[in-house]
Order: sequence, then C-alpha cells, then structure tokens
Amino acid sequence: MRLLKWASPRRWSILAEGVTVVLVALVALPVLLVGGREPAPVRVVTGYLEALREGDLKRAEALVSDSYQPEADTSWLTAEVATGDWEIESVELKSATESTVHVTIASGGARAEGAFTLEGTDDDLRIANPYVYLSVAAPLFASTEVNGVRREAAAAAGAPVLIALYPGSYALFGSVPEFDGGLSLLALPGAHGGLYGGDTVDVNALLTGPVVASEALEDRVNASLAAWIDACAESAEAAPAGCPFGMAWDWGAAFDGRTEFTEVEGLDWSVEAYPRVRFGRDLALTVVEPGSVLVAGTGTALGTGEATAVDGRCTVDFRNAVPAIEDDGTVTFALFAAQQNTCY
Amino acid sequence: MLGPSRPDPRKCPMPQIQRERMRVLWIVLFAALSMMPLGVWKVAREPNTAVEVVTAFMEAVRDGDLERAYEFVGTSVPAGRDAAFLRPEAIGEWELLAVEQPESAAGFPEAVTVTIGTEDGTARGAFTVDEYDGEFTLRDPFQTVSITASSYLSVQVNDLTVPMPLETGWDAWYNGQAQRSVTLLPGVYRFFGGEPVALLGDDEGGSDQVIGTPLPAAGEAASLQAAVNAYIDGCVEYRLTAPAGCPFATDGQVDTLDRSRVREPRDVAWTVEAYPVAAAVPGTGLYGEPVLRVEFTDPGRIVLEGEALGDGWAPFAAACRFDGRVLHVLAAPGGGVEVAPLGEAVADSCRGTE
Repeated sequence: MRLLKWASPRRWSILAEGVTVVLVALVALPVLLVGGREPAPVRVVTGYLEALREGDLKRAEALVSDSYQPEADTSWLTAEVATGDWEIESVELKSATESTVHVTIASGGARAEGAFTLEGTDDDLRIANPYVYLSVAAPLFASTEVNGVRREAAAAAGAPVLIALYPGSYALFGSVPEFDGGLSLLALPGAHGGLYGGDTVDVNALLTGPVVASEALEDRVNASLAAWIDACAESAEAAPAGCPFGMAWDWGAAFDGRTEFTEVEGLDWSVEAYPRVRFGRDLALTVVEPGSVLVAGTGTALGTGEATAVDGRCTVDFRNAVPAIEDDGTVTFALFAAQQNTCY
Repeated sequence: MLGPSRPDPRKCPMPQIQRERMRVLWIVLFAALSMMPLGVWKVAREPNTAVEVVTAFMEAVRDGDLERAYEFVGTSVPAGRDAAFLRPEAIGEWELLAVEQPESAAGFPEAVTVTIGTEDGTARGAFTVDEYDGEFTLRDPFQTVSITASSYLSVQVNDLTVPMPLETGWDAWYNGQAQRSVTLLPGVYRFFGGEPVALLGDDEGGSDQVIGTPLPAAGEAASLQAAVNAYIDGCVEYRLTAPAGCPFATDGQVDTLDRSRVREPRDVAWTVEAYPVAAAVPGTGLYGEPVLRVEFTDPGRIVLEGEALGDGWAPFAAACRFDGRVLHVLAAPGGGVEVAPLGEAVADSCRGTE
C-alpha cells in the first residue's frame, strides 16, 4: 500500500518510463544482435532444410539449382528414403560473401558441419550443392540399403556408383544384424571428404571399421561357409555343382591326386577341415586357414583299366568363391568361374 | 488539447497532470535521442578503410575470435574437413606489428601489407582487399599448405592435433597422406612441434608451400616391442606360405631342419619360437619423407611346418627368421606407437637359416 501511495502521483510517468524502456529494448536488441532481417541465402537454406525435415520434397526441390550436378543415381531422392530424424542447429553466413551458407545439423549426439553454395539472383536464389553422394563400391553386399530401402547394388566392377541423398540422418545396411540397426550417417553437403567439395561419402570407409572389428560377423561368415561346404559334400559327383572343390579332370573323368580315372562311382565326400576366412581392410575375405575335403569311392584307372579305389584329398579353393551378404543379412557363396580339380 | 484540470497556484504554476505529461514528453524525447548514439556507434565501430579492415581481421585472428575475423572476409570460409584447422587452438602466439597500404603511383589501390612478429623474427605479407559499395573485405586470406607424407597418424598444428586415422586400407591411407593439404588462417605455425613457419598474405597458386614432417620419436623400446609382438601374433594365425603384410614368408623353396631343399610347401603352419628384437631406425619413405622403419636386431626364430615336395611329398619343418623390412613405425595421436605394413614385402625369410 505504501508503495502504491508513493507511486500514485507519478503513475503516468512511471508507466510511460516502463513502456519506453521496453520499446527501446525491442528496437535496440535486434540492431545490436542480429543487425536486421536474416539474409536471403540463409532464408533459402533454412527453407530447404525445413522442407526436408517436414518431408515436403516438392518445396525443397523448388530451391535446388538446375545447373550442373555430378552424374549420380537420383532414384534415392524420395520421401521413402529421407525418413531420418535430425535437427537444424544453425544456419548462418560466416563471411561477407552471401554465396556460402554454413549449416550445422545434429541427430542423436552426432553433429555435422557443412556448407551450401548458392547461385542466382536475390529474387531467385538456388542451392547449387543440394545433395550428398554415397560412393558405393561394396560388391560384398548384394544390394545397397539406406534407411530400410534396398536396391540392387548397381556398382560395375571397380567403378563406384554415386547415389544422391538429401541432407539428413541415415542408417546404412540396417539388415546386417552385427551393425545394430545400421551404420549411421549424418549427411550434409560440405561436411564430408572426397570429391565434389566434401559432398561425397565413401561407403567403404564407413564399412571397413565395423566389418573388420566384428568378430560376430566373421563367425557368421565362417558358419555360412562351413554350411556351404557341408552341402557340397552331400554330392556324389566328381565335380559337385557350384562347389569350390572337385576331382573332375581334363584327361579322363577324374583325378584324386594320385590316380587318373576314366570313370568313378559311389563317390563320398567328407570334410577334413573347414576353411576359416577373415575380412581384410579391403573388405575382401582372405583365407586364414585353408580347408580340405576327402573323397572316397571306386573308379577305373586311366591307362590300365583296372578297378582302383578313389582316395583323394582336395583343397577348398576359396579364391574361386564369391561371397555376398544378402538383403536379409545372410551370407551366401557362389563360384567365380568353373571349378577346376583341387585334389592333391 | 489538454484535458480539464484544476490548477493549484499555491503549489506550482502548472497543473500536476500537465506536469506529468510534460515529463512523459521529455522521457520520450530523451529515449529517442539516446537511440542516435546507438546507431552512430553501430556504424562507427566497424572499420571502414582497407587498413582498418585488415587490422581488425588480423587482431581478431590473433585473439582467436574467428567469428569476427570471418566478417571481414569477402570469399567463402571452408567447411567440413577443410575447416579442421580453422580453430582457435591452432592459432599460435604472435604480435601484429604493422598494417600499411603503400601509395600507388597508378592510382589503383595497392594490397595491404601486414607485418607480424614473434620473438624469433618478423614476417611480412600482402593481402588483396576488395571494395564494394564502401565496404572493404579481404579476398581469400586463407593459407593452404601441403603436408608431406609422414609417420604420424595425426597432423599437429600448434596446440591442435587432428587424427588422420586409417579408414580403409593402409595403401589408401598412405596415398592420401601424399596428397593432403591443410587450410589455415594467417599466422605463425609449428607443424608437428617443428620450427615456426609464418604464413601470411595472398595464397598465390595455393598449396605451393610444402611442409616437411619430422621423424617421429621412436617411443619407448618396450612399446615398440609390444606392438611388433602383437602384430606377429596376428600374422601366425594365417596358415599360408606368405601371409600378406607379415614379417615372414617362404617363396616355395625351403631349406629344412635336416638340411635338404624341398619345394611347394602346403598345409603349412607357423610357430613362433623366439620373437625378434625390434628397433626403430630412420629411413626414407616412398615420397622421400623421413620414416621409422622396423629393424630386427635379433631376427628371432619362427618354425614353418607342413608338407612339401622333395623326393616325394613328405612332412617337413624349417627354421625361419623374422624380417622387419615390411613394417614401419607410426606415431599414434595419443603418443604411443603402431606398426603398419608400409614397407617392402618380405619374399622369403626361410632359406639360409638354421
């Protein structure tokens, strides 16, 4: 009450002072801190990223420049693929030029700092580097998987394929159980190494560490390999179809390492030692311990024509095996070329 | 205009409510006037000549205030990996001694020259400054230098160490080393703790300055020995005649323990009997850079067993030694050492041994 009594004769001036202070603060703070409205390039990039976050790809594409883009597979630029959850942390100009806009995005503790290049006039500013490119040259995987979407790996032998992706958060090869939901990638132009000014992500560089470090994956590959050899050993053929060992021979019918045969019958393959393989840093499987199989049966010796026991030991020719990790994460093997005789 | 009031001539010549209104007017007027210096200050605090802009830029760099420094840059600021060294920790200590713009005879503005100094000496460089609509900006003041291949798994610039880890294979890592460059702000830098290098002025041609890398410290002998032993343990798991990248191999011609020569060994296994004694010795890498090679002062002993062809196929055993030429010593970012198969492949370490 005392306070109100004291204030009553000056209430209008006190009120006016209060209003003035608020007005001065409202006018001065933006002048001091921001210096006015956000520049047009920042608005364009913010609009692009917000459209992507909201899944409005049409609105995002309207901000993309139609000038030269690297030759890439653009079929992954869909709402089905760009489903990751991520946040925009900052969008700003760092230097006096308005052609480069620096951006920070974050997702689940990971941050990526990159930069967009803009071109065009103030009325029609467009983003010149809107995408991140996955450089895929991983023949080990039957298909490439991004955020649960799988497509056959189109990589020609030796030549990596570029897959264009929108900026955002992605999980790669999520079907491989050892990757715990997939290898995470926070994609942002300018944030990565490689070609096109830091817009390219080498998938092999993402894969190598987790693949080489995973004992579980190595064990699973070896178990699959053993199962393949077991299935092959069921065969009674001299050259089990699609298998990495055999006793078929160019002269006559078969050779067990000692005797050449014109014909063989009642062949029984058994596994002496399973091969053990390991991933190298080139993502190829290298042999740690070569495997071997034994073969028994009867046959007719070449030349003498006598009935002779087949008693062979044959190596598993893993160099002729092409491993693949299938869409469901299982490991399969196929032959690179027709299998030659491996007995000795 | 004023509302009705009752003046009290005993107290004041003006009615109270009128005084209140006058007071409000004064306050509003005062507040409006106070905004003027704010605006003037906002304009005046920004440097507005070429020399002032370069001075403000260099002072901001020296103080590690990169956000302010970039305000005076007219070209793009690097991002992502290219910006790995554009951090305050990478900026060393130096003083800004002079910023001048020489008079030009032709009437065109000359580049602004900057002199900086440390207790070791001074350096001078010139920056091109562009003017547009009364505003001056530096044209690309970033300094790009190439760093030669090295025996470090990181790059150290002043107090900042950025890991350069192995991503795919060692060959790719080593190739990448030979092609790398780093982008820095102007200043004085010590690379890998070496001699100070001043980088100042327009970066003509880019990457023309090549920074050599010093030989890493070999570290403690025990840690090198432990790294070598662990590497050998990984190698002997491979039951191959010449496991890739390993410090032992046979080329197929083997002298056995019973002093006979056999060939085409198969079903082989390697067993370590005595680890070699490892030492790091200076050498030269593929790109002419100083490297630390692994040399075995005692070649140790590794036994190769299997089946080979002599008079017929028969089991054999041969005593082999270790050969360190395939291994290089690399300095890890944390200060330890690693060994990597960056040297010459070993073709045979079995013949001629007992």
